[in-house]
Amino acid sequence: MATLQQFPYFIEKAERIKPFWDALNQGKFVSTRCSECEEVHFPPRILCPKCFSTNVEWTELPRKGTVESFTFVEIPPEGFLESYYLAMVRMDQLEKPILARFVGENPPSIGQAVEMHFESIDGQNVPVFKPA
Amino acid sequence: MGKDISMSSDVAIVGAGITKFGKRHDVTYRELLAEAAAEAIATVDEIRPSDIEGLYVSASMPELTVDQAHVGNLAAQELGITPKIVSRIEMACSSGSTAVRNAWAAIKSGLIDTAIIVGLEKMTHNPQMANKGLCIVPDVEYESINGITAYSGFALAARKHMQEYGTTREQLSLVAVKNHSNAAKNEKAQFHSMGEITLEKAMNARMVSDPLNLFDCSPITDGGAAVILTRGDIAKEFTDQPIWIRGSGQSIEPSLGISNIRSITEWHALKKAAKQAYEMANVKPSDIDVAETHDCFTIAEIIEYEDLGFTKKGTGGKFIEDGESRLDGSLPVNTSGGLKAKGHPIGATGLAQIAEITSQLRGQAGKRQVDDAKIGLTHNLAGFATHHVVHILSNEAR
Repeated sequence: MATLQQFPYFIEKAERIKPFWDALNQGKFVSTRCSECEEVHFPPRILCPKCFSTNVEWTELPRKGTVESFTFVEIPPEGFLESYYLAMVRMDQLEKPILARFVGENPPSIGQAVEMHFESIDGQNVPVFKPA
Repeated sequence: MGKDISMSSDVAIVGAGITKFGKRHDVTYRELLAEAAAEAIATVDEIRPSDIEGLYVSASMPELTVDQAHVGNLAAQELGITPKIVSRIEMACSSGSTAVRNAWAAIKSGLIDTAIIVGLEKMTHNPQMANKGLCIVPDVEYESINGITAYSGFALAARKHMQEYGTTREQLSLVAVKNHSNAAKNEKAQFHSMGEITLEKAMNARMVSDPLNLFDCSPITDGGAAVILTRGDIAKEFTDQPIWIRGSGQSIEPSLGISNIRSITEWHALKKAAKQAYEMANVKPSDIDVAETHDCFTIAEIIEYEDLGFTKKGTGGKFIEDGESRLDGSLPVNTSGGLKAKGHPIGATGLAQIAEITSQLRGQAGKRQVDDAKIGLTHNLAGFATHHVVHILSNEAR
């Protein structure tokens, strides 16, 4: 489907962010939460953008959400071999939208309940959404 | 320099110009840069290299497309100048207007009197790297790897705007029809020779990322543009027709991709940047006679009508359908042809918008001249509409 070769430099040796990518490989969606103000971040952070604390910890996030918008990408960018649905999903409790490909028998619809699943690309899981 | 400049004195545009946009395989990168500067210099009555104390270069991706870094120094060489403040600005598609705002601030501070801002991009000889340059504008680590690109990001906004406000496929295409019609009157536009396009042609083009088709998208382009600014009280030394920067506003969402944007269909950062500019200029949206707004995709221009206050939220589609933004409408938008049809050489775009409004306010816009234009607006954005710069220009001093 796609290849991570397009962005070859990331994660291999960056130890601090490794738990995020390792969690995806274990079928979990994690990010950081500020231990001071309890703000949940995405993408993961080392500096809390709400209170500037550096006291952050990993936390597992819910994988369910609602489709806010979607598109069928007819002309895929480099690194993607075929067309795909892309969904913008407002995640439960996180209150932030997450972007990922949508995989389902039928096209997605706005307002549809979906759940995050994972697909391996070159040995690394990345999120995809499927109907809940 | 800087002798007791009053903060109430507006900065003046004394020169502005653009190169021919399109496929410019006839020139090298540095020749295109010099050509852009020459176009602006030609619109000033008299200026010497020693007059220029500030140099800003707006360039998004020369490292990728022409293997050249340090282009600020390249510009100093090509212009043969020794400015005391010099910078290369990279804020993706909004680099040009960001550079203008920085030069404006340096003049306001009293540090310098006169600055040239040159912007350019050379993209069409190397479409693979140009596309990479665009694909790495959003959040590469967390979103681009999941397949989002500029066009699919704006497609998400288009579908949601259609669902929330009833904006139609036809209204999107009407923006393309209008901007191609304006480009047909602008010899420097990339699609000048294509002429007018029909609504049917725009609506039936190949789908790129639904609901956006090929005619909803701006192209990749080679081109340059430049603007020369000076202190208001010495502007008459350079030109009889100074154009005044009456307002400048800028606002950014703390979001590289989509995850930290408040809304993709109501651009809060644009509303904030516009409010700053309107208040500084002491004008209302209804005072604007002509505008150049960032139509990277047709849906963007529709949302901009709303969030710049030209029409009520949700009625951007009706605004184009009623012909309000056409050359003969109540508020002509993108008389140059816009990014859509004039072309979108990333680093040049914000400067080309200012050049078009300068030309309109000087009464030099030829076949696309808006009658009696006195106050104009430029709006330049980047990312998924996360960064916005708005300028309000006038041919009348405050």
